[in-house]
Amino acid sequence: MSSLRLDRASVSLGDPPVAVLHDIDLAAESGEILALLGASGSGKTTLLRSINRLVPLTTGRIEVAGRNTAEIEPVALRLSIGYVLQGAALFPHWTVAENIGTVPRLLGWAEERTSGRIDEVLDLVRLDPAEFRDRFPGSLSGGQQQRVGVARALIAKPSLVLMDEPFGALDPLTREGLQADFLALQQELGFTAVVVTHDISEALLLADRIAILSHGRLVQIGTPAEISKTPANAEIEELLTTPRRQAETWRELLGS
Amino acid sequence: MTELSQNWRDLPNLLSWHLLLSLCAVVTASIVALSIALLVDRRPRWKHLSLAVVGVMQTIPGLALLALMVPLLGGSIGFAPAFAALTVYALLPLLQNTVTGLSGTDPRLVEAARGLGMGERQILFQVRFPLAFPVILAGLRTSTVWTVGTTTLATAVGASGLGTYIFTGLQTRNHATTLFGCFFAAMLAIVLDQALQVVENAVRSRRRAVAGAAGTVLVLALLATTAGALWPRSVAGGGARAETMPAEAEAVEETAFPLAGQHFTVGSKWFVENLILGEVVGMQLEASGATVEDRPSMGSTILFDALRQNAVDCYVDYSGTVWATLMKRDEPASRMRTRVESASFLLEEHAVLSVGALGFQNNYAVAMRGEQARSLGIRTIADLSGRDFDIAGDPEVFGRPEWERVRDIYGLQSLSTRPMQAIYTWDALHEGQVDAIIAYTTDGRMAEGDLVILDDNRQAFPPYDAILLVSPEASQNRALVEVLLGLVNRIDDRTMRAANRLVEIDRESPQRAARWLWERTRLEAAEEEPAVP
Repeated sequence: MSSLRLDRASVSLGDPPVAVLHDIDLAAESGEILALLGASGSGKTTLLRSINRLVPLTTGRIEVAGRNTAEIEPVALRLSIGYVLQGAALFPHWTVAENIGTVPRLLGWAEERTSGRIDEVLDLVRLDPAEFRDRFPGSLSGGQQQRVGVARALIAKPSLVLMDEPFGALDPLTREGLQADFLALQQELGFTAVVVTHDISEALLLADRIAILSHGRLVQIGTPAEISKTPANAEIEELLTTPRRQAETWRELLGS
Repeated sequence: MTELSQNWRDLPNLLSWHLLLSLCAVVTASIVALSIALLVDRRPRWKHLSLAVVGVMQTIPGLALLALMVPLLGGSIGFAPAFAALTVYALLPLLQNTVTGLSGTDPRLVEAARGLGMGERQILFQVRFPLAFPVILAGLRTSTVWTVGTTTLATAVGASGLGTYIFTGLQTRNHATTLFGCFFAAMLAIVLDQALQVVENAVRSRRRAVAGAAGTVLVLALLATTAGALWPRSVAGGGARAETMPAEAEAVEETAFPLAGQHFTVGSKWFVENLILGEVVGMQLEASGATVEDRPSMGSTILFDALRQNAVDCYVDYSGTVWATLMKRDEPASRMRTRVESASFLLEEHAVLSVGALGFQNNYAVAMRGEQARSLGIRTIADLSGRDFDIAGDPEVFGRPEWERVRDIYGLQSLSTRPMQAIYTWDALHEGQVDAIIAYTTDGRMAEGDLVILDDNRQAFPPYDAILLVSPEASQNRALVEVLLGLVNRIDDRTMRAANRLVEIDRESPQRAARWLWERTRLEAAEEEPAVP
């Protein structure tokens, strides 16, 4: 069963309305990592935000786990979906434990259940609960903050997790470590993830399938292998050569 | 020395009233500001409008705002108008910082909160409000410091506070007393500011335990300090004139203390003579067993309104003031006619009882330096006509109908008026900064130096007999009226001038001058009335 399905989804924003997304048809299978790849302004973040109804659809429909999201109360919908933001966006006035406990508190979980689960997810993201629970976000490194951000999204065991450039704005080493840990975690827990990125390398590394957006339209969707074998247009072909070109540049620089 | 110990003795009571008034205003303003900020949140036009309105109210001078609140609140004086005005005054920094703080939340955090499943109210109260809290606290600090300072002006509308030192000290040129009041008002502001700073820093650095502890200590300390104000009788009564109170009022015969167990509020206007007379009235009442609350240094019209509304039980006014300002009369009249007609006017129009005249008149007089007057051949007020002289007087006199009348009768349009505190007019005259002053005939400095009082041969100024006024309610109290009658016709011009002189020249406190004066009235009473057989 598909975990997420978009059916001719269109979004217009602003006054007067400007079309940002045009007739997107897209589906993500259960347990799949789907990357939304595109340049800035391609509509990839808007697409992500339309899934948990942070932006309203103009026409079309979106189904999550077989249910039309338009028929689900927005707050209830969001509580059932994990959400990870760029730079983590942790609440600076709350401790790590309080940040991670946001959704359970909104769901009205018992204190003990929340507390136990906080320790579990901290372990999952490889942060020592004893050391990190009571610290404030301001005292954490960028990578640690993003791990807390992931833990916050996963605490209520959502079957779908939305991630908006989760590993952007991190130094390369931290980013690599996080990406690897995230892959392992996703394979262990089996949730469906939709990851917005503008980084082709990240998409190739993480995703089971990549959806490429340009100017609000879906131009190609497929596995990394499919896309690199038959790019839909010259632009994508060009995009695909960037990792290789970068690698060559590095080799030259380091070799000389 | 005695002056200072007197100041120290009054301090606990005045300080706690000052604090109580400031705190009530700031706490109420906080609640109002928060409510407004929440109401206008996400309504930009209303946000700007509310800030503009509060900003305009802030530009009204503090003293004017205080005075305006008296008629707005139906003439009540004391705590209520002061509280209302100070609350309005405290609003701006609170509202500004709350609105700014709430608008300034990082939009990514709002996005995160919404994306995780918070409703708008939860976003407001769990995310935006706590994040704005340090900014709101900074507004609270500013507001507190302003309010503690402005509360010193509340004396003018009859509220107790540290302003009593400042007003009295300024009027009696007792700089030590003024500085005493300023010092403690400043200390209070600094201490509160620093304490709130500790809380704010702890909140900013997310040391919750420290913030909580500091907040609790602050609240407890404030409660303890204001507690003094919550027992007004025991503390206020024990203030200025404690030694005249009968030690055990109930144990004494009722005839000796006809007012035992009764409580009265005595007002006075903001000048030396009236301050002294307020004290004398207080002493007279306390000697009869009553407890007395002082409302010193009030504005004249505010004081009369307060009397009319029974907020003050009695004070000393002047027949000419009633004649010109309240009755709006401008024809010359004899001393007796002014007295009689003003008394019947007060009774008929305002149900205010004039118990009687104290015996002396405090008239307006135009005075000049002797050598200047002689060299120019000036002897009457009419001789001032057409000269480009500077004439000084207190700010009130130039706004009164009496001055307009004098100016029109003698053709004094060419004179430029220089309003200043009455006490400084003499210095201005002696130092040659002005050519003439409008003085009071009972002023202690009347007999000092080479002065010429210009003849008012057309009786442009009405006569000003000091008259003892009692509020409509209090005038039903026969025992009170009896006791006050004991002051009638007891003070002549010379005695009053001598009492004023004690303060104005010898720099004694009004209380000491009042004690001297009151004891004189007792002495004369004892001489006149033979002992009951």
